[in-house]
Amino acid sequence: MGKKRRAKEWKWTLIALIPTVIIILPLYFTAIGGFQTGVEIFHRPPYWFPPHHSLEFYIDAWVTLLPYLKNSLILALGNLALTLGVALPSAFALAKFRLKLGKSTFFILAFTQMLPATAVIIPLFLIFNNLKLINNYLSVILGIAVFSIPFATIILRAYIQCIPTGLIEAAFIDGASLFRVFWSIIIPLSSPAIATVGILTFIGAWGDFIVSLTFLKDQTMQPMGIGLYYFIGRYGVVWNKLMAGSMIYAVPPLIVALLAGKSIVTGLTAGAFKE
Amino acid sequence: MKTSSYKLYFFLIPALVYQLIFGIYPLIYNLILSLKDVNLITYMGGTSQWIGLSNYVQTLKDTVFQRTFFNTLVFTGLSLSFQFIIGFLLALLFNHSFPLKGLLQSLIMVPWILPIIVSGFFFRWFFSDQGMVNGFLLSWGLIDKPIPWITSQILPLFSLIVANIWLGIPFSFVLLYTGLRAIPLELFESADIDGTNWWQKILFITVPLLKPVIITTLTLGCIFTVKVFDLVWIITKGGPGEVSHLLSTLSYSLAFNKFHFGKASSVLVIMLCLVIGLTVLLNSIRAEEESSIG
Amino acid sequence: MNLVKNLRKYFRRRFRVIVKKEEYFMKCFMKWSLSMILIVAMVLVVISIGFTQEKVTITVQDYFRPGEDSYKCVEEVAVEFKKNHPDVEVNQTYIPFAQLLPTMLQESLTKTLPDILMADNPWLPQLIKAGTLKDITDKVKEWGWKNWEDFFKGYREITSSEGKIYAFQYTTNNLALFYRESLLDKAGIANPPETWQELKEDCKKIREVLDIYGFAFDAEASEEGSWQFFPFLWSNGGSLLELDQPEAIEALQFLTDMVKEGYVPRDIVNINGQGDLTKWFINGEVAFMVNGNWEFGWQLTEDVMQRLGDVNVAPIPVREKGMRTMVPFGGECFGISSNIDPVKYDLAWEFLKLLVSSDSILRLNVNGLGGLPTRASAAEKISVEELPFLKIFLEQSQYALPRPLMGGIDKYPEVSSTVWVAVQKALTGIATPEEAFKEAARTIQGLFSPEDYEKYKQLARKLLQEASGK
Repeated sequence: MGKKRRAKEWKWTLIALIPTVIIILPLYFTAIGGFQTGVEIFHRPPYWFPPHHSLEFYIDAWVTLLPYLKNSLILALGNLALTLGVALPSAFALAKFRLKLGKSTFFILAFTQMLPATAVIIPLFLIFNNLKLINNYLSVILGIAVFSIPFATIILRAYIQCIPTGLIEAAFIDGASLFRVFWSIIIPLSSPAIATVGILTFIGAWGDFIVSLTFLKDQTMQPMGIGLYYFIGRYGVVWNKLMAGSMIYAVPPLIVALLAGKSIVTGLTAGAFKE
Repeated sequence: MKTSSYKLYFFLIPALVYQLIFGIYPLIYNLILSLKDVNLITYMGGTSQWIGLSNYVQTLKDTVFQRTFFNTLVFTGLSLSFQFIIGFLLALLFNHSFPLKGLLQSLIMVPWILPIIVSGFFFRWFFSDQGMVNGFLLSWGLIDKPIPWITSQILPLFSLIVANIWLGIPFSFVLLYTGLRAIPLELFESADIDGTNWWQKILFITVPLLKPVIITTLTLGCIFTVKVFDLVWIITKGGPGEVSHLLSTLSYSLAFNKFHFGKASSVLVIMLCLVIGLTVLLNSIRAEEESSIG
Repeated sequence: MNLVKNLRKYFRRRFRVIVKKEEYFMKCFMKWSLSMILIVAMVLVVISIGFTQEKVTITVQDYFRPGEDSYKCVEEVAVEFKKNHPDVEVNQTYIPFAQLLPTMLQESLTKTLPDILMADNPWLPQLIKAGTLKDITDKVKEWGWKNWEDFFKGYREITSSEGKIYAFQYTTNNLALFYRESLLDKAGIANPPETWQELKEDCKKIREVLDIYGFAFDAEASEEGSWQFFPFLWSNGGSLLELDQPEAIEALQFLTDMVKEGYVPRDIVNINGQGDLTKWFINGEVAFMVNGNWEFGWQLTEDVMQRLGDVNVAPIPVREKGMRTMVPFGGECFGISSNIDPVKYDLAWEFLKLLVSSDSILRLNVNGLGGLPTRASAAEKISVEELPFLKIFLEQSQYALPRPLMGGIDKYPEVSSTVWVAVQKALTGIATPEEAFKEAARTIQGLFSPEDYEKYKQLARKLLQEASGK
């Protein structure tokens, strides 16, 4: 029985491999691009395997980008904490209660993230400059949060709506306070949703460039996204180092996606129906 | 019972206030900018004049804008549809458990994780006259001359749509997948007992239960797709000859190539109206679906 | 139903204990959030206080990356400056080139411009008009006019306006035809082409013998694409403000034909910078390319040149023998920002003087920036034997044309973008050269009032005449 089931399951793996391989094709070329010289990358036809195994560009990229790693972590994790802290309660309130401000809040949240970052950056710069927050991690965290908070709230709201209302009502009837319901029911049951939103928010903050560039003038505070721009010169791009750098840059978010992905495996309400 | 509880507003206030300060102010700023005659000189000097709706009139009359508006609609519509369908199919696929699932799942996030400049470079090469697509077609003898995927009048938009579909798959996938996991297996098991086949299950169980998530995915997907800028900018910069501009790239080009900040903001505001319209449309569907307390 | 009852029991069990502690938890949460707010506020205060500088600092903003050779250009000057001014710090801030102008914009709005700014020369007329740069005419007068006149004519014109001086051009570059001798040999071509017809025939031979594209230039939707068209336009007597004239259309027609015949790859409309052309060039995929002298400091470094062994440079071909190749000049300028602290002004000026001194500018070439000097006193010190490839660029730099003055001065960015759109349309077959340029000419004329249009048109003609030596 075990063997048969195992074989059946591998069938799914094979099927899933096909779209996955297609999707990661650019990643593959980026990875091998890091082993080639700029000129080799432009070779036609392009190399499917790097012509020689030169690690020097990866090492160079690593050395260049390492100082920025800690900044990226601070900004991404800081933003994640702020976003979840603000979005979770709001999502709960919007999802399960009919509030007077509810609909308008939802639309405000949707509208304020519709502007592209380049349009938001200059007015925000004016505000933060007056608050003397330039060259301060907080300004970037707050700046990214303008997009991540509404994003997280809207998504979490959708998931929390999936939690059976009856559960919550039952808790209220038993005299639980609002906060208690939030803390002990909503958060545990929506942990897969939190994981999903966590991944998306983290990747979003990790990938930020324009906000950090605008608010962090001090080089020692800049995140890796800006570090990668060091490979873009005045008259052209150092493609091979950029690609090597991009691979290094992509590793932490991939790890986060992998780890948080495990939480998504359990269902949203799977826990609620256990006896 | 608890609807007017002050504690409830305590939950909501942080997000609301935050967005009001940091989100609304840029909106108003851009709105004001769109009503003034602003170029680099007046912008930096702070001496721009109010000209009312003149920017909007000029923008709406501009043939490049009209084409760009149309491009944006096509781009958003097609990208969103395919991103959603592919994401949904992948989510259904991954809803089974199989070995290496965790790894493959995180790999699907790659389009979102890879820096856009590198993905853009890949697609630029992919679609170029001497790129991968033409390479394949030529070597299999399907064509004799390279197809101008990004060097002609009509095709660039569609090449960009393909690239954007790739970009948006992780987003749709992850949201729909998490939503799928919420559906208790018992429902499917009882459906099995009743003898329904797979597509009936999808249509009558999965989709209805997933409705809030689907609408959210489409709404946010719509907002993000209309905002897409970097991808287009790296591959074609809106060209050749401004045929592949989207509202976002047109606005940027007006601002930083021609220094027409007033006009750039007017394009932005129009873009906003478009997204707002689409969002309201999508969410009017869900108005009846909510089950809420008090 | 059973399910819900069981759930209720389950929760009832859990909450019986907790119901009593409900108030307690709420108080805890409130306390916690209040203390978080306090902590954040304290941190903010500490951070904002913590960074008061004791020393006077001059800030320089440029696109020189720390760790690159180019960074030393300013760094070494800073070191020398400190010898005479030991209690002054010089801080160099790096901004990626693509963000340089948007950054200046933000800084201008918030009056936080750095003390010394770097700007690409086409931006200068607008920056001057916007009041971003400080009028340093008096300081130059003090310094001595001979120093100012040491700068070549074009660079003086671009950094001044209405008799007032605002900046100095620090480095310059221009365009020429790079070619691979070995590829030419294989195709049976003895000398690089001098006319358009010769270039076309050479490319035909190259296609027949080597089956590669003969020629590549930049036609992307940016200034880098736009300016590569200008040598073809100006050498033929055309003008940016008169694109509907036959001279301009001929130039575009020539390039369009080259693409149609398959001598130039259509992909040139989508590259990301002139550096991408060099990659094709080094790979042997094109035999001719239009590029600039910075490549010698960037990709065509000594070891690459040695490895390839066959790279050479020639002036860009003209329509007929006897015409002179007219090129635009590139390069960046340094100036002092208008919101400089009056206390620091003199110091900043001292630093600027040092930065654009003959020695400092000469050092550019040695540091491998591949740039050309903008001053005669520096130019004559360059040994052409040591750097033979720079010869053509050096000569051209003396009569290279300032783009904004050739294209409506402060409306130049719009003129330029109209040109690149039209060029792209023609090259990709979306419109014929005549249609594209007629439309472009209409648009460009519409940017100006009739008097201004005449004025700028005449100015462009005058400059072209003077430079072409007729």
